[in-house]
Amino acid sequence: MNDPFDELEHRLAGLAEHAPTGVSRVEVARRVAAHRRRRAIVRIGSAVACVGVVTGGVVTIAGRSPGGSSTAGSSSTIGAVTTLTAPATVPPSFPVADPQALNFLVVGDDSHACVAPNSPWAGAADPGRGEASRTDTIMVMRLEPATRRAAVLSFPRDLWVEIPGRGDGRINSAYTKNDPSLLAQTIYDNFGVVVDHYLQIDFCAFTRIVDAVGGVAVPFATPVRDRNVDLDITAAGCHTFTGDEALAYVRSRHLEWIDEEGEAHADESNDLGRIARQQDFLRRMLGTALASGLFDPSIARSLIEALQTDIVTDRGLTIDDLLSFVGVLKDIDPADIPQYQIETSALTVGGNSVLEPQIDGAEMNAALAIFRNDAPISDAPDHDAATGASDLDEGSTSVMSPSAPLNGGIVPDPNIECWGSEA
Amino acid sequence: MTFFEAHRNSVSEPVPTATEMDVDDGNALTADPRRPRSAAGFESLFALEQTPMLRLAFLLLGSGPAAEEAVQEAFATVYERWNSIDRPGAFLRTCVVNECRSRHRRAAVALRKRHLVAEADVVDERHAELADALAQLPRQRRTAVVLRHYLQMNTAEIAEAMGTSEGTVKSSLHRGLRQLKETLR
Repeated sequence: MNDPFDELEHRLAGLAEHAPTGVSRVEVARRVAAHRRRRAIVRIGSAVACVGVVTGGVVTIAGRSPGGSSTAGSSSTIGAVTTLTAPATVPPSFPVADPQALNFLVVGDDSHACVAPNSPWAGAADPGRGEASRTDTIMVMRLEPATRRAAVLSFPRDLWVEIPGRGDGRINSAYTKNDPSLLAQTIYDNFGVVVDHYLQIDFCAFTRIVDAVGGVAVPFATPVRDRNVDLDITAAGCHTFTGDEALAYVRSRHLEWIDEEGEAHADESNDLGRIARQQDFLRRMLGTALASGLFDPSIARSLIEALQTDIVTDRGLTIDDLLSFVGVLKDIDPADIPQYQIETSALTVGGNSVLEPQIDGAEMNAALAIFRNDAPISDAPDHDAATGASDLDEGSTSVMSPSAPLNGGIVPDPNIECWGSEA
Repeated sequence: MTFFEAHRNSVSEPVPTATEMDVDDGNALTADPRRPRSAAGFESLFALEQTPMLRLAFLLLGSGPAAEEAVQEAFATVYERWNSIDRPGAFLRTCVVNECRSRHRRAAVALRKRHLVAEADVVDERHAELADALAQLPRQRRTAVVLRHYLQMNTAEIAEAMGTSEGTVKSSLHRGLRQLKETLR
């Protein structure tokens, strides 16, 4: 053929071969989340003003720019995630989860290998602790694949329990890194809850997931800070956490809220408030992940594979199993996950304040019945914040619903979404 | 015969843009506009079109990293509008062209810097020669030439993707090809 363009077209095709061959699906998801965040700013500003939380007038969103203030260490973490590429052939769907309901013991391991020492939130790493690995987040997540429902039960780290073979102690002292057996036995002996699977998530995995969903936004009624972990949120309104900063936030045990005069007030709920914030954060993170398309089989698989070194599971839990459970989660409305914590009363043992479990109440038993496989999640006692407040027992330090505003607004209002469901 | 007359304007059938992949009739770029939407649809569009779109963006920008950014951003826009767009493939292509337009200046600066150092990326000298020649084209001419002679789109399709008139496309093609010819020979 004597086509004058054959040669040009041939050369263009040749040059095009030098193009990159794939883009990161995770990065696409991050960009979707970033677009939503930009659009949400006006909406949130007015929403916050409407509920009268803000009196100062101007609402500043995301005072920190996620990219600008992150360190070399944290951006290399982001880089590890964003180099993921979706497989050429897309699996049609998640593997189907076994319909049987299962309990996952989820433990946050606080080894601090992933917190860059020069990060603005390096304090979250608690470097004085050395290499000893501990946990301050212990929860059992129950999944009902058949009904596509989930529920969460949290254990305060200071919970005073009987540890098999050791006598009484704090529940987190039963934790050994990479070996859930004693902790699982302790939970069974004290609360009758059987652990089917184990997920140990360390800081690296947590910060990477937060960064992979493009940051997680949380609404605050007042400015808050924790000088112990270098956390300083200077304005009320929605604040978007990057991975490193989010870690400081969910680990914070000395959070203070700042009143209009600039006066700081401590969060007196201590560990219970922290658990409430953790649960609130996880719910928002799940919502963000759903909105950003992360709950897509190919992306979920790449992310899980990338996190393999940072997540320890029991031997029976394969990546396909994990994916099948992620497939259950993707159909769940994050607002519809009942969240409980063990009810407690304060106790002083040897000069240390600990929390003694109080599990004889009707509400607590109804909640525990779910995790003991005695009742379906649809029978869950009302965990809604509005009614949860009325469950407050006079004289008790605990609340049934950790989502209820506990103390001066340090627990974010679950009814305020930092970005909504717009298409 | 001038370059202008040589344009294959007679091509009226939509042509597949996935240049290498032997895609089926359900080619995402030419699929029935009324087909039902699903999340799986986006994922298969992503799997099918990421490489062709990267190649298109690479030809338009001359830079791999910039092409990746443009394509990621384009897919993000498609994802957000998934339920309201008629022809996702064509919309995606338009998004890529748009993203390349906004990145063109930045990419051009990067390309100039690139020439200051030895470039190992473009191995073949003939490819480097073409890359340089493309880089010298004004953006509109370059876009028109690439869409026409890489994706084999007709002028109507190019006009739609570039958001301009067919007349502008024709003159951009004409001038672009003449300039390319002068540079290359």
